[in-house]
Amino acid sequence: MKHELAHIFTEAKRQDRKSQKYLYEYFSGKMLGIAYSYVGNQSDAEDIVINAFYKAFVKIEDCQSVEHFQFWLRKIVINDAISFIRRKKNIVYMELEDAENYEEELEEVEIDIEKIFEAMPLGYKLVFNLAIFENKKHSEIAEILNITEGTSKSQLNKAKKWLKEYIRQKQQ
Amino acid sequence: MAERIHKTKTTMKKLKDQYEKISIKPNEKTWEKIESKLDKKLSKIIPLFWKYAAAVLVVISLSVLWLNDDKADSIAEHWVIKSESEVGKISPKEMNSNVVKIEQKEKIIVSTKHKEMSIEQKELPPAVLKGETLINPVPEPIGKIKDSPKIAKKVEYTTAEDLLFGVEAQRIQTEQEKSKNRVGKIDFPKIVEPQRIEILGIKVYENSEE
Repeated sequence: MKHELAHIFTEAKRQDRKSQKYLYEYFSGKMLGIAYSYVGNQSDAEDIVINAFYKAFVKIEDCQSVEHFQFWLRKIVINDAISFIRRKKNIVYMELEDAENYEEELEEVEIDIEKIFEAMPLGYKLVFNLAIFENKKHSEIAEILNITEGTSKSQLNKAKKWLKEYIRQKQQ
Repeated sequence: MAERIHKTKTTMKKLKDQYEKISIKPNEKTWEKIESKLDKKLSKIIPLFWKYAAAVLVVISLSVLWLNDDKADSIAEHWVIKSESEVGKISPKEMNSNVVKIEQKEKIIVSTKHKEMSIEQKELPPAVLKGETLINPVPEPIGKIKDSPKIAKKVEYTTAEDLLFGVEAQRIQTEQEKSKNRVGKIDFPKIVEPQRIEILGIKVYENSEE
């Protein structure tokens, strides 16, 4: 499968449309899920995915190998999603007085992650996604979102509190 | 406290695992939109490619023309046909350069950087010499040199084909050596003298008598 994917990637580099479509079909579900986790609705997420795949295919020469392609594409999707949110939506970052790590227990329950992304406030969501799912440090998040490290930390703590409250409500 | 942290981390890990498994089926038209964008990009690239190709073609054409021009000039600079009166003026420096001298007394001296070759007419049947030189369209006025030395003086430039003249002369000399004992004469039909000769836009000859 890896070998086949590598061949398809090589063909896609030659702008072969069938290979590009194959790569799209292989990665689009995942990329749409990631875009959705930022914007919280499918229509906007699809617009982001369309632009991200278009950029990826146009600049595919910049991507070294098929192993890197998924991470490279993911990065494009996340950057585009953040740019989209900045363009279209007002993000309000609420400062928390106490920016210490929030370590309160989260209940082990079955969570519908898509529902969480629909409901979580935008300001929390960006920091939460970057910190938890992309393993970004607060300094990196601060640079990406053009905020201070303190704001990044407080947004993450607030997001965790919000998640705990959300899960509690769902349990009731 | 430690148990709480553990539970939180476990929940976060579960959340992460769930996140990595997210897959949302895109709308069927999503690919069509990507394809259409890619096609538009391609259609923009192609005319741009033709524009560049046309520009490159023009540059190449101009370069070729310029090079040809330069070559003709270069030949003219290095190969000069001189009349008898000018032969006496040739400096030793000129003797080392590529100079073809045509004496009015039908003595041809072909001088190159490496050797000098002299062909006396008395050793060669005149008709043959004339016939051979007439093959070359540019030194055609040579036939006129006898009657009109002024014309011969005016001929300053020649073409690359003149280079062949030296080769022809050498060939004639070789043939002559081979057939020293043979006597023969060939009369070639008289060729009409051209009014004007232009090569690559450069006037190399004009009959001033007309």
